[in-house]
Amino acid sequence: MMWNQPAFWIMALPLLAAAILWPLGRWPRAQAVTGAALALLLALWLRSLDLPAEGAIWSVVGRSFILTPGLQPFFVFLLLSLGLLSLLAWPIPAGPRFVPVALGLLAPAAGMLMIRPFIFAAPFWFVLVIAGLLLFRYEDDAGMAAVQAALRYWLLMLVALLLLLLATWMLGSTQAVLLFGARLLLLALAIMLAGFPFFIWVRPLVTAVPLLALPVLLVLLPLLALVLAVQLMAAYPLIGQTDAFLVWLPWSAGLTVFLAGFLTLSGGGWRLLLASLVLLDMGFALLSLGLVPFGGWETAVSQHGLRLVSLLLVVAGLALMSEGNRYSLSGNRYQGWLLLYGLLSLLGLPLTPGFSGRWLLLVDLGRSELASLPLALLLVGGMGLAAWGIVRQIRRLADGANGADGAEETADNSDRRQRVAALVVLLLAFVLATFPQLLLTPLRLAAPIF
Amino acid sequence: MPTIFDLLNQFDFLRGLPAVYLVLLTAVIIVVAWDWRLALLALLSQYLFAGLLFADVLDPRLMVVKVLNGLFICLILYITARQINWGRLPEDLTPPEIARVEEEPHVSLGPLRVPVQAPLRLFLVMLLVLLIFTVGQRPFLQLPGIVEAQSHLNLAIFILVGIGLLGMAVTTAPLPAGMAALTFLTGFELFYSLLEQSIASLALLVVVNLLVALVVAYLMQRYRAWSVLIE
Repeated sequence: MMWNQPAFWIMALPLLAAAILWPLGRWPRAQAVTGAALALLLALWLRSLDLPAEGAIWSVVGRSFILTPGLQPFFVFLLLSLGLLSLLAWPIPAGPRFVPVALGLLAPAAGMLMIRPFIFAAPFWFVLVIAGLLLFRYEDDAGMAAVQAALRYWLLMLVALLLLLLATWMLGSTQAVLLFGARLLLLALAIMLAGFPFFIWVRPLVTAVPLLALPVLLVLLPLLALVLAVQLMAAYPLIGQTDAFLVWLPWSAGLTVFLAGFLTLSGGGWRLLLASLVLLDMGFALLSLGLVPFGGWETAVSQHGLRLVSLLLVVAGLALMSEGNRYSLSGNRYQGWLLLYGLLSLLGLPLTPGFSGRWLLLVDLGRSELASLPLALLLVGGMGLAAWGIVRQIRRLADGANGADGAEETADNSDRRQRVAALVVLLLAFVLATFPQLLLTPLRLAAPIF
Repeated sequence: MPTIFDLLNQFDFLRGLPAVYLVLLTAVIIVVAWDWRLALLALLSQYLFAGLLFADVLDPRLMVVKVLNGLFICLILYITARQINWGRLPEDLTPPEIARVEEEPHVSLGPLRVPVQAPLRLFLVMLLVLLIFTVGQRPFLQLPGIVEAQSHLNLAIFILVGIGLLGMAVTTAPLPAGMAALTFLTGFELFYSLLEQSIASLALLVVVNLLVALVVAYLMQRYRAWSVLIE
């Protein structure tokens, strides 16, 4: 019976929550609070489950959904993150679809990570991407650009889906095709995690979605792809030792970081700078996937969690200083600092929350066989270029030039409450940067064990 | 009433390489044609001809499911295209308004208005086809699961996947890009059917195809809604 199966309910309840939240779109604040409350309730229910060591198994037409004790804390982490994002939809408008879609995403996400055989995970990924398409700003000024960004994202993810289907079939058949399967898997992952040369979807996407959708599309979805990859690597340990993962992946990650650094120099507004820095961070996360055979997958999950924090700082900074789609630094000193701090955190500089992710990666890299001088040069070069890109953007704004998204230097639009809110978030972020274990300990607990 | 097997016997002269050439023709039309009606007709034909190729791999009763699925997809796209007037701009627009909302500039060739990128697309497709015919049949590019008697399938898969990918790359409008994606998907399905012939994977790919068609329809509605609003 499916009624007493936690694996069934973890997919059904988010959909039910989304169905409840959808009609509340007319009352954004009520929707935000209800969404956060439902996410918290779901997280508490999930945490209270006492699962057998082999996991709770729900069989459907010959396939199995297995909710393991290792996945349980990861789903709780996802639910709490989605709950926080739902709550933030109160002060930061994200459109009437955001809260139900964000919460409903958990259903295909859970299905993707629980289903066996792995071959059936790929369609769940596709459903996740399609749900993600609902978050784009089609109704905004740049509606046509949003459609084009959504189209590019979706087409690439369609290709990734097909590669993933082939790869999972090959991994599950014979050892003879495992090498080819590993290469296809890497190609699929490079698309899903924006690795070189498939990073072209990130920049248009960042400019085409509401601020709050960024953590969903650029942190949670890539994190799910990464956890699926880790599951596959745990089930077929040989793939982590193929040339695809030991040679191609570090190069793809290194080139992504370097090109992301280069792209920060291309100008544009805050959003394009943010896109480049997120891409840089995604490059580092991709590199951590190569460290999985050396025990680095906790680092990968931690890096995504820290990206979530950094992105939330940027989103808060931008939201607190925005007037429609225009961002002004003048008269928004604390908001500007918050934004800058978030950007530096994405870059991974010391004394920012993002630094601990870079540090963990550095430690893992030192223990692995992946470290090489050219790779180190690419990574350092990318970070150096990105730091210079941030400085240039600030100088451009200081010189009074307008960015692509209309940064202006004139209006003093900052009220007292916004300044106080920015200062509080800034202090909180600084505390998290000073005591990184406050973040890293729960993130390590959230990392699923296979 | 003829059975599936009778129909296959009737069209036996089209099976093998002729079906590959017909699929190639339809794929080229999908990428190059700027009139969506022609492109959609080509997609419909492609599903029928690809059915003959699927018959070499699958049980004919399963092959029919693929063809029917393709027909449903074409129906979804047809309804969407009708709703947005086949992507045509309203007739009362002034030249500056046309320049604002048109995805790509057009030139007049007699009674025809041809997108300036159409010759470039044709050139790229020809280049790709030449490449596929030159190197696509080399031994090192033989796909796994294809026996010697089915070597035409190797060519068909490269054609559909290659031209589909090219079509996805050269257009920014959802409907043409979606039709190219469906071409790509057909090529993939042909390959995947060689590897895995279970009912579950067949159903899975049918669902993926229908989802693709629905997403194309959704994005197309959004795309055209904005053109009208900008106007």
